[in-house]
Amino acid sequence: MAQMIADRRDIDFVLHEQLQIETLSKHERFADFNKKTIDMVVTEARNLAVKEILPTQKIGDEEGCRFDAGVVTTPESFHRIYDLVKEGEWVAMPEDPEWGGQGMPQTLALAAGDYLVGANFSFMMYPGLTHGAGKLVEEFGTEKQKQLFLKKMYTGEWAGTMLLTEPQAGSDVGALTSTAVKNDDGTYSITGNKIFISGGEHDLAGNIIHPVLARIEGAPQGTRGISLFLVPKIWVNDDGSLGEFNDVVCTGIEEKMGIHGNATCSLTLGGKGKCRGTLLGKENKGMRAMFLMMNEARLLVGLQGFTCASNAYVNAVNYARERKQGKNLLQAMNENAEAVAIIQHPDVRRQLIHMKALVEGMRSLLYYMGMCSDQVNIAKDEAEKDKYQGLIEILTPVAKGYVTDRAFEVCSQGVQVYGGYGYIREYPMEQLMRDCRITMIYEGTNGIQAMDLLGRKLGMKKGKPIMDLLGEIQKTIAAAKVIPALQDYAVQVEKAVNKLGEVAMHLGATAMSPNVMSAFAFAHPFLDVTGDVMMAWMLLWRAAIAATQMEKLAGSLDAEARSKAVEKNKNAAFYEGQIRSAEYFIYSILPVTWGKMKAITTTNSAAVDIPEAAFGA
Amino acid sequence: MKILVCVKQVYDPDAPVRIRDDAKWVTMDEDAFVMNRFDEFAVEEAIRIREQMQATMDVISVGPDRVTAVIRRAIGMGADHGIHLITRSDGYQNPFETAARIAGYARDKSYDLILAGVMSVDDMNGMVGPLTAEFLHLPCATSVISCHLIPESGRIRVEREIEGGLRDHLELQLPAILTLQSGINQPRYPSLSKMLRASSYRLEVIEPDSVALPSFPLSVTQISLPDKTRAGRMITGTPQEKARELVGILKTRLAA
Ligand SMILES: Cc1cc2nc3c(=O)[nH]c(=O)nc-3n(C[C@H](O)[C@H](O)[C@H](O)COP(=O)(O)OP(=O)(O)OC[C@H]3O[C@@H](n4cnc5c(N)ncnc54)[C@H](O)[C@@H]3O)c2cc1C
Repeated sequence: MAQMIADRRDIDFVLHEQLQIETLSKHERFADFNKKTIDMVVTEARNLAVKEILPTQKIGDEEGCRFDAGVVTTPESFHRIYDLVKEGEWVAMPEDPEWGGQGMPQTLALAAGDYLVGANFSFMMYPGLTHGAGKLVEEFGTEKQKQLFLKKMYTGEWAGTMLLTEPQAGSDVGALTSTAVKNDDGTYSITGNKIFISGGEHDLAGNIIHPVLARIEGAPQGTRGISLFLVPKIWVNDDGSLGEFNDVVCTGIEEKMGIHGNATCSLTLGGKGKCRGTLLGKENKGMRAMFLMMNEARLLVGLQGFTCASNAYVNAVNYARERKQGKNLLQAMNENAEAVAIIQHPDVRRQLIHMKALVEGMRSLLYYMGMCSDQVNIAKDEAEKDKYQGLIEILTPVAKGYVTDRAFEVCSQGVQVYGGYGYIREYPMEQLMRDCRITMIYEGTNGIQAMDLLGRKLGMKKGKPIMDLLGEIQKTIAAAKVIPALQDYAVQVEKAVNKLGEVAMHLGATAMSPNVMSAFAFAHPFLDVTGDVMMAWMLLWRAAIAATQMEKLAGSLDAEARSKAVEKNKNAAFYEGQIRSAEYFIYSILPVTWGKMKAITTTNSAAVDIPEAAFGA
Repeated sequence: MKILVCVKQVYDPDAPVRIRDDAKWVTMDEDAFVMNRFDEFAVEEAIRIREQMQATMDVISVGPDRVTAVIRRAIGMGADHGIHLITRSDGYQNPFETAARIAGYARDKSYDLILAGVMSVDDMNGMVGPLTAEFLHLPCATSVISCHLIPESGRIRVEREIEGGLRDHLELQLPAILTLQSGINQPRYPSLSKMLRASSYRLEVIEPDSVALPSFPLSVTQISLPDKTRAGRMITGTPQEKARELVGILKTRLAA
């Protein structure tokens, strides 16, 4: 059966065999989530995604959003699926049921998201941003703010957004100029112009609740003087009823490369002096609140990019099995040889296995981070909680920056596998590639992610998170080493991990030296190699599980037994695929990573030394 | 109002089927089972009736262990209670036996209305509903595309689809059995909170040997793929090109 959006077998493998998600159900908090429940949730997410949401992917792209005199109209087909997502209670899966969530493990929510987001990510941004904005209310809101807003947001009745960006304040949020003036009744009058606001205005929900970053009059410059406000599109009275329009005016929407179904809005707040908000959290602590929410938001952007790659991969494999073109290379001289499916050509296979290995490694990494956040929630003591929180901190720039970089690469290869058909609109590949591209930019550009890894995360808590991470990887290496067929794989990964440790020390030290500029010119390459090593870790982990299962199915791990088992048994074919992904990555990609690591330790300063005038142009 | 909805778990019509070597049955992927589409209409219709009046709705399914997944799905859609009539075999499910088991369970439960799909998408016999009605001596309408309860008279008015595009309008005295045709409604999807309830809900389980079944004159002798009688042709290209080519083909065929 041709898979759509994502490979179900692979999702199940990560959930059950790799991360053993069912162990979470031993804890009271997740007691309801046994294997049957988990499978049912994933099945229904897939069902909804494939039957209802996926058919809107292309329509949403072609129809796009329309703007007319302050009113934004989303693609027609989005209304029905918005209602289905709302009624199905998919908006705030991992949150507290008291407020309209479902108390689900984050890991499982990611698996459901694999399908839902993968079916049409520009659409899923509306409920996704609503969830994120609700989370801010849950964490920082007063009891009254929660009563007024939270349930309505977590259930999707009202939508949410995130208002940070201004024309002069993009990567540097501290440069924002929106202002807030306190009124006698405790509310604040807000004025300012925000741009690039996803879902800033639309017609899917009864109200839109905007968390807004602004500076209270007289507050310090820079990030230290920023506060967070809750600004509804339509004012919400104390009794919960809707009041007047709150002077949040959409002045236009952007024409974009991709995610056409999601309205990217320019908003003017308080143009008529009538925009009010309430303080969310404490004065001047807006950036801190943002930071607390950032890991989750970045993980979700990683997931968005990833699902484009996952779609691209399943489509490419299916296409390569069907498309006949060219003779088998071994029959090149045979005049009468028939055209074969392109999956038989070595160069196409190389692209497919590259895509496969990356998609699998990325899925494992993202779900692993979900698992870390579940572990934080059920940790038995502070030390355990700190450890998992540290892993999340250090892996977040990888899950956002590295994953979206690679996801785009996978989408591009997907286009390539389709040949000319990949480039034309009738096929889904060019859209996936266009949609995917934004994930490298918003929620902190990947350049900012790389700097976050090098500048903040490496040295965080005296380097404990990175040490914990290397410790976790060592566990996988040790487990793989005892499997003879994987011993050398494990040795190669171990070498790369050790080398990464050295590179990190070197670059960290360079960043503290007068050569700081050169060090940061290698921040992105460092993010790259860190990500590569994480992929190698995840793929080795997968292969170790797969080899053990394969041995059970095939009787032994020798080549003949394996290939016999693969012919007969679907599971054996899957496990063989796991071993091959690891083999490919470790022997064909890790050597390239070594080269990149060598370049980082050389830290050549050409990029920094070249005078601006010498760039020409 | 007490409603019973019969649901069947079927093999996903999109999943691959292979005929077994003995040609007596097929092998199927264990993870590719879904709720019979027509039974989704029945579950939905029952939920809608319950939304309009005081009612309870049970769902019942006959089959091996795996069919509990569709019972739970129906609870996830909104059913109150689920009943699993276990069968030991995983192969062909004889509609006589299925109907007899359902009738055996329902006989003394005083259901006012029993709903089922018009047929199952795998075997397409369309027999379980009418046979159950026969076993229970209840009135039955098949292929129903709309229904309307009249509480005062204890009757139900139905519209059925019959051959040649015609419609039948009937009134049945309750208790009655209806089998529902597509188009009657748009089935909802399960909601997460109801699914969570469903997964911990204790189903009522009835063992096979608790009812004595007569023997039924139906068994599988052989399964084969239908012979290829005509060849299909795929038209490729842009939608415009495809349309143009299709028009060309139709013209030459009509001329011939
Ligand atoms: C479709 C879309 C949706 C968006 N949705 C939202 C939203 O919902 N809410 C919201 O608030 N914003 C949103 N944004 C804004 C987005 O987050 C910003 O565009 C992004 O943070 C980059 O800011 P910028 O565009 O001003 O680029 P700049 O900050 O000008 O960056 C330009 C380049 O310079 C690099 N750069 C900048 N500063 C540094 C530095 N200090 N060191 C090294 N390199 C640097 C960047 O990496 C980038 O490559 C959205 C943007 C788009 C396009």
